[in-house]
Amino acid sequence: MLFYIDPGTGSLLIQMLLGAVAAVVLFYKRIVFFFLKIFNKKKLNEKLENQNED
Amino acid sequence: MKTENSSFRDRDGFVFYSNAEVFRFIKPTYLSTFNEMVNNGFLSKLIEKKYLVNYEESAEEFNFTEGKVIKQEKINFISYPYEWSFYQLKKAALLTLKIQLFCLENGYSLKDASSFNIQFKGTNPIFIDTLSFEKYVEGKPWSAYRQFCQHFFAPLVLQSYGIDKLNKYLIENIEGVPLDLCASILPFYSKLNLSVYLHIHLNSKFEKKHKEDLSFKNKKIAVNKSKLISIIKYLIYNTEKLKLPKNKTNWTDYYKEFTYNEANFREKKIFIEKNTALIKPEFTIDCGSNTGVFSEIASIYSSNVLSFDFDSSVIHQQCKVFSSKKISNVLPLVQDLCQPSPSIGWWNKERKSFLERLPENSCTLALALIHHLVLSNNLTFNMVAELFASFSKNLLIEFVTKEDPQSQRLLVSKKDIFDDYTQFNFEKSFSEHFKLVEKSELTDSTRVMFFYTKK
Repeated sequence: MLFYIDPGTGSLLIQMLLGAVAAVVLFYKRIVFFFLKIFNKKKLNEKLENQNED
Repeated sequence: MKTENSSFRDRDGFVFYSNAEVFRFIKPTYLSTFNEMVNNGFLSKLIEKKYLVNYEESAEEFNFTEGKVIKQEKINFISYPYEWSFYQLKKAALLTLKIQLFCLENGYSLKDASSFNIQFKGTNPIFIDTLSFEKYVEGKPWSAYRQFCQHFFAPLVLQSYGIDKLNKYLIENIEGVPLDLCASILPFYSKLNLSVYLHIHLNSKFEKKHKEDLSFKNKKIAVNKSKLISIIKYLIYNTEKLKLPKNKTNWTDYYKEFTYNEANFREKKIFIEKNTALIKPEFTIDCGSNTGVFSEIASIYSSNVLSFDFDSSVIHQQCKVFSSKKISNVLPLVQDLCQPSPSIGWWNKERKSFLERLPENSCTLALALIHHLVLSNNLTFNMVAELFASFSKNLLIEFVTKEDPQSQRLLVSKKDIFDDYTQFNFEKSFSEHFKLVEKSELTDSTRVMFFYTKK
């Protein structure tokens, strides 16, 4: 496996760990949004607005 | 035909210019990938989404026996990451990630994540390198992840912690902010932030530990596609969450707090509006634009406006304003006229200096600027006039007298060695390079507006 730029071995290795963490965080986020959608629409809107703001 | 100096890294092709148009030569080594991306609609989808610059088949004939030439959409003003505000760098980072996500979903991957691959059309980023895509190989991690962290994530994180002095680090190191440097500068408590810990602190530790480790050559490192997509989505989420700390600079509230009375401000606006409408410039350059009020006026009559200021937080604000007002012909940039971006890289030619990139014969606005240049930076009127004359056909400039409170403010802790700072000398110096078209004193004020045209 060769690359166009030097990817850095550490930065490749860390992706194996990152993949797992990312999946967990994204899953948790989806659960939070799911419950907010049911129980707290106001807070959900606030969250969405915050995300859109730069 | 002239080859672009920075277009040497990629062996699959290069950019060149001919008759003021931009072309890209695609070498036979990349041709099959390129044709495939054209045939399966991948490139056109990227262009449709406004992710990638448009291109067309070149009608011109060039002396290439093999390969292919395409004509690329032209960017009005080339800017570099060290000239962007937080807003722009963040937008550019998100665009890079969105492109990588789209690539993965369509069986491709970005082979690099350099911030130099992004340009701005107004306040919207666009990807300019049509040859940055490669076929995705199952199990292969994202080779550009470290580059993404160095070019985008690290400088954004630093700024989000209030460390904005490294904005210009890319001038020093074209490879971005080294992760170990970033980790050592960030406050200790930044380790409590999971994304900062992972992408910066832990990443830099891994880098150090595995520097000589070449195990990836034996395919030991495998990340499957769904995990890779999760990583990119996670990076998008992390980048979206980054924000500048809420501190005010002494410039952002300039118009609210200082000196101008309403009538004067209105007169000045009318002067600028009347004359830009008369000139109808192709390019307007607003030097020291602050909140961008006058850039906005100029944008009505000018095809392109370049609005720059040395304060990155006002440029950040300008981007927000122009983006929300959907004004698409103003490019705000962070730039200090007293120390503009130098030319950098190989032979000092890879990335051009700011002044080299300025269009000739522009209409230049220099409002409430002359007292800063002369009284703060000790420049002479002659030096200023000469610089403006080097790129301006028309010049709308405001003279701020020494009695003005703003001039006095600059002299509070400075010895007044500026006996020559008079309107007479100002006019004398500028008339050496320019012809006076109109002069207008603002009522109840210590300021005079001038409209000059180059001799």
